[in-house]
Amino acid sequence: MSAPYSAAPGERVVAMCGSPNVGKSTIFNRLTGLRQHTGNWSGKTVGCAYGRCRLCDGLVIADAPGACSLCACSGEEAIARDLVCFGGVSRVCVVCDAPGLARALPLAIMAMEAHGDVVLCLSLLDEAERCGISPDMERLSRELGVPVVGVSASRGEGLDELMRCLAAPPRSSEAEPPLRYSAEIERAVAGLRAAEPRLSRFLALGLLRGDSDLAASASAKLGIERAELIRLADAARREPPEKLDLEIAEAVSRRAGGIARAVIGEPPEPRARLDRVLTHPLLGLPCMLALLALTLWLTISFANLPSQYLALGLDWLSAELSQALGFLPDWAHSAVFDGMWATAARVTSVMLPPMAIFFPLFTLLEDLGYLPRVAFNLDGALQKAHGSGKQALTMCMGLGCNAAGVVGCRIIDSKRERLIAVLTNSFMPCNGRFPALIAVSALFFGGGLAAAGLVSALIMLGVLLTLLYSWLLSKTLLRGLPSSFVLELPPYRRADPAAVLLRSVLDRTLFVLRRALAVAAPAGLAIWALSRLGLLPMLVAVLDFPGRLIGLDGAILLAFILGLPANELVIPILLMLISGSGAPEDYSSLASLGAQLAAAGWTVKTAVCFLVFMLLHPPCATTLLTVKSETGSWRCTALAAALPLAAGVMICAAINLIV
Amino acid sequence: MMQLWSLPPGGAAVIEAVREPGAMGRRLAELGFIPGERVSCLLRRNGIAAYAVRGAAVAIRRGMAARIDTEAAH
Repeated sequence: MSAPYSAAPGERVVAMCGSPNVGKSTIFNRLTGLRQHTGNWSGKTVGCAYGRCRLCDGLVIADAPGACSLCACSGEEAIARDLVCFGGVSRVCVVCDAPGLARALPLAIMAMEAHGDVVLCLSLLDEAERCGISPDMERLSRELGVPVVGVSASRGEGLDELMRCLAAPPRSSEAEPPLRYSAEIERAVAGLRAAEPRLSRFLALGLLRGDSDLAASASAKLGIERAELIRLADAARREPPEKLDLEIAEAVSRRAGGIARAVIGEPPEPRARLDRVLTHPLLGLPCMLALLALTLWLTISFANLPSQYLALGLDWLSAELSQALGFLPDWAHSAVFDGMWATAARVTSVMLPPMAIFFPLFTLLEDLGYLPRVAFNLDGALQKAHGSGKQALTMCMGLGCNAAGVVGCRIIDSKRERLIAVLTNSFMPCNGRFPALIAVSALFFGGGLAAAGLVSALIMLGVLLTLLYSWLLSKTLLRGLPSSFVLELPPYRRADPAAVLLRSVLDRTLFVLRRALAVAAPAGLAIWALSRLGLLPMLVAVLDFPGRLIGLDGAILLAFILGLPANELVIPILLMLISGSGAPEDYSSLASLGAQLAAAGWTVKTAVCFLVFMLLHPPCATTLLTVKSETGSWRCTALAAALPLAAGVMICAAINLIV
Repeated sequence: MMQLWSLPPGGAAVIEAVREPGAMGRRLAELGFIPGERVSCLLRRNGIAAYAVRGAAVAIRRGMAARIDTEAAH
């Protein structure tokens, strides 16, 4: 998860912690000149990022994943906790957002209990100003006894002072604890620390709370037997750990609330006017569908032309390159151009334009703060399916890329619910499948709005199946009751179009494209070899019968199988199989695609079955490998492939029988 | 005394007790759901509701909202 970092001699590492949404990544980027994705909801940074401080030699900043607390509820919080407690960092910078100070301060209090040298960075001062909040920073510094620096990263204010503060020589004396607990807790902490002096105040409190995860971490990092730590804590404690746990949490929160009140006064009530419409029981769902359809419609109507130009450009480039490499032997020349290049070029021209439109639109919705509202809207349904409310967020991510969606499932705390979300993620069609869905819908059911409507309907089918499968899994393999969760609804923010564009293109579009190309080229080579060996017609013939059973044919089924490395390969491979040529074909114009499919005997029924099977078939190889790495189990990976396949085969066979 | 869940949108109340064990109880406390804190209901839907606490909007499910006891705000 977190990349290990060993500081070079003379380097000092400062840990940077903060809740999601406090502008931590923006500050980190400004200080280090790196580009970390920032987002308006939790679950973005999933490991620690390290960056050298610009303008300040020997200072390395470790950006911890967003964590509201150091009492680990989630994997991200455990990473942040281990970085602060055992990461050997010389200083901890806690980023608290001024508008949400009361919620951000518990983290600062815990960090102070864990580390003697804490700097507090008060961020989003510009946003606070807009809400009419003017924090009393001297008071904050006095209350906590640590340096406080105010920063407004978007305007670049306060960053120099923050850097000076981070680079300042270490403080010699241990700071006064930020909070005194009840006499009973203080007695137990003192007793435990006397028995094991290596424990910080925070670790002692954690052991008293009965935090087994923390005990395991402390045992590994400090080299003390875990049983010994637990025995010491049991001896020091007179009350049950559950009682102390809640008492400590309430004391921390009460102190945080008190300080926040003194520093910024009563915070203004969050406004719910827009939410009354966007999460309205009757209007909420239509609003969501309309936004989805609009996004798809914009993607469909504006992606076609650039796709054609891109294809033309790549063809020209291919001709030039082909001439330049004319000295190669015939077979090698053909392997490179008819195999690798042809496939990679088709994938690029088909995938890039829709992605370059879809991802910015999606990022825009994300930055505006709309996605948590989607989770709010869908929660009723997810509750009935015994899933986590946050599954809606990972489903949205899956809409961009299933591999990203599977990784995003880390935001779900309960292991059972996380597994459900991982296994069902591929029911959301990803960007690699959109172009094929869109092209075939437009061909057989009319372009523009009709295609957008049909693709939206397919996505709704995916949502319904996600719910159905989540429910089935909860009743069979992954039995259990829905766990509690907390969903924060951050205020809507005005998104910065330039930042949206830059980020979505650099972080998402190019990332997905690079990955697709990495599999497209070898896949192209394999297909080329198969076709050279004359195996393709045989495979088509073998697969024809099972294909016919589900309303498809041998060529389509083989295209799906060969397209496993990347879903965007399916149509190019299919065209190659139909035409019998050695390389994946171009379908830069819809009309030519339509003509080729019609010649191959496609009917409306074939098209419907193709669309359904495109939605419901094993996810691409990248996603499957991601499932393996996230769950650590080949069985889960097999299940992730089998679940959509079973649904696809059943639905397609039913369509084939009925129609 | 009444459950937080029965607070209608627009209504406000003061928390009396949180009967939520474990990690979720801790998370609720960190967000400001502690005895003595004032909360108001922003939205309530089928099985989920959003509350304003310490200036933020936080949505929780019905089961959890039913385990938070409140009294009338004055």
